[in-house]
Amino acid sequence: MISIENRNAVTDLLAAATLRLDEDELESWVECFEETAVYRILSRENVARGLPLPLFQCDNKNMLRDRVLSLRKANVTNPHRDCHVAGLPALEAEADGTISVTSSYALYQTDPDGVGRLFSVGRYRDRIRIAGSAAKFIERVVIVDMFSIPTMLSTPI
Amino acid sequence: MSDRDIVWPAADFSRVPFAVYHDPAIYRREQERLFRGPTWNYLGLAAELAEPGDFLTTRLGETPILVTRAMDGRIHAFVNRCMHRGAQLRREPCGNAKSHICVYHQWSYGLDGSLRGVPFPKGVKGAGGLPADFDRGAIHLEELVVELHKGVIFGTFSRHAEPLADYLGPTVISELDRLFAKPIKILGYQRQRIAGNWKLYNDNVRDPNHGGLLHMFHATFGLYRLSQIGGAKMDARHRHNITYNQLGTDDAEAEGGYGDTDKVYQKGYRLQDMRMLQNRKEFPDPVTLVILSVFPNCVFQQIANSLCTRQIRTYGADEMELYWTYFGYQDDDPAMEDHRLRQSNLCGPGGYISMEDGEAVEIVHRTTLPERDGHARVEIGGKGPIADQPNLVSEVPIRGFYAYYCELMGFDVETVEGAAR
Repeated sequence: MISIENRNAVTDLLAAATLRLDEDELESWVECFEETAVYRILSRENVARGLPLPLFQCDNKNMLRDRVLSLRKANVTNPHRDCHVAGLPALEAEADGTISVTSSYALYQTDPDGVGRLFSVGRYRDRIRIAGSAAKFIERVVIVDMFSIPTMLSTPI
Repeated sequence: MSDRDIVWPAADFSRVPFAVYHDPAIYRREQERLFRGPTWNYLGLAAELAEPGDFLTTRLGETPILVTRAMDGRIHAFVNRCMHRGAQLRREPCGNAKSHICVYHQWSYGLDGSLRGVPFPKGVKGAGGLPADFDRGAIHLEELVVELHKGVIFGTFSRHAEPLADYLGPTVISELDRLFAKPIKILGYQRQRIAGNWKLYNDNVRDPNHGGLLHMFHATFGLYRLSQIGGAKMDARHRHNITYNQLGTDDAEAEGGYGDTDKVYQKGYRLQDMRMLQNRKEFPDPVTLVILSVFPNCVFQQIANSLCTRQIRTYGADEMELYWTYFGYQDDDPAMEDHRLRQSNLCGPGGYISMEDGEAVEIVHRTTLPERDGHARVEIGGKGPIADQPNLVSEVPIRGFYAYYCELMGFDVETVEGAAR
């Protein structure tokens, strides 16, 4: 049984994780994760075939910080604005007190001329820990159904 | 389209007409003369077809291809199209089967491509079915010529193509021998849809110069700078290219060259998790980066310990898919496999040092569309004869690509003096 308080903490985290990306607040997006958290984007094709290759993989929070640093200081990205639309999350209490959450998403990208496209569709499979009143990811796995990535995968999903 | 519609003003290919990236008639001719011509095209890796009956579907240019391993172990490649009414025969990316059966009317083919069965051949109660002169033995899936080198599967439509070993040449072969010296293990796939002409990607991988200028992750974190030891080697016909460099061989004086650009890489940054940049030495030589491009549809990559093939699949003049196949070696221990998976972050559509290429192809494609009479300027590394390059500040291999391209396409090329235009 998941308490209303914990359920609220989870949904607050899910909302923050996508809104911070949409607002280009990548540094505060990183704060949604614990230090040892894993963030991976996987292609549905590899998951279906049991192959381990990711599209994007951070094994800990430092690697997330590195991604954000590189996006800010080194990479040249396609100019765009993100807009995530998330489906209702399904929560499941785990024996160790963490919560597993599955939800679907659609991610639209809009270019500087105001022309948008559907960039990605898929699922989040999350493992979330609640400490006090705040929830953080210990694992966020994004399984991308649209695995032929249009143009480039720059900002995280 | 007549040849007069397109002008190659420089015999040294230091000008590339923008029209070749856009003209639908040129795209059609490329499918005929290049992809269905005397070229050898990457189709996949034998490691993907380990068992008899294993198959995969791919593309050669825009033609759907079915690659199978027959019961006798031989690898065959066919056009993935039923000989009855033309339906796509296999729709899944890979699998294992004893025969290939078309979903439309259940025509069934053996793994060697021969037609095995047609339902109701004699019709029902003496009426319908196949005509008396129907010759089942004469019907066979359209088959390509296949040759393997070190487990890399190449195919050609042409019965007049030179042998694969001659087509690749000794320089390319020695790189393939290096990369496929041991049995490999497939780690997975990545795909990237790029709204641009397929040749713009071939240009990109024959342009060592952009590696240290567009991909600022490289320069910022020292993996590849134009001031490092490196260069470009080509085959005798200059159609293939090998760009190589060595990590950590920066020449401080040469690095000053970045000062002339308005986008100097930002110094003083380092990663918190340095495992991303670590090269675990696994080759006998000191080379840490190899981008081997084989005309017309593939790239073989070593970037530190990230190994993969990249196949170019065409979807019209304006769209291509880049299909990345990552691998390690069968004798990798779990720590090495873990390291390769981590370093897969370097490449692919979301790769630290490759994500920009999709955008680079698209911005060239978009802005050259209205410039039907314009030309790209390809002069870095010099004009005139096409030759190997002893440094990375060069785009000469692009000229090599177009020299062979024009030969196959039958384009007339003007004089060297035309380059002055």
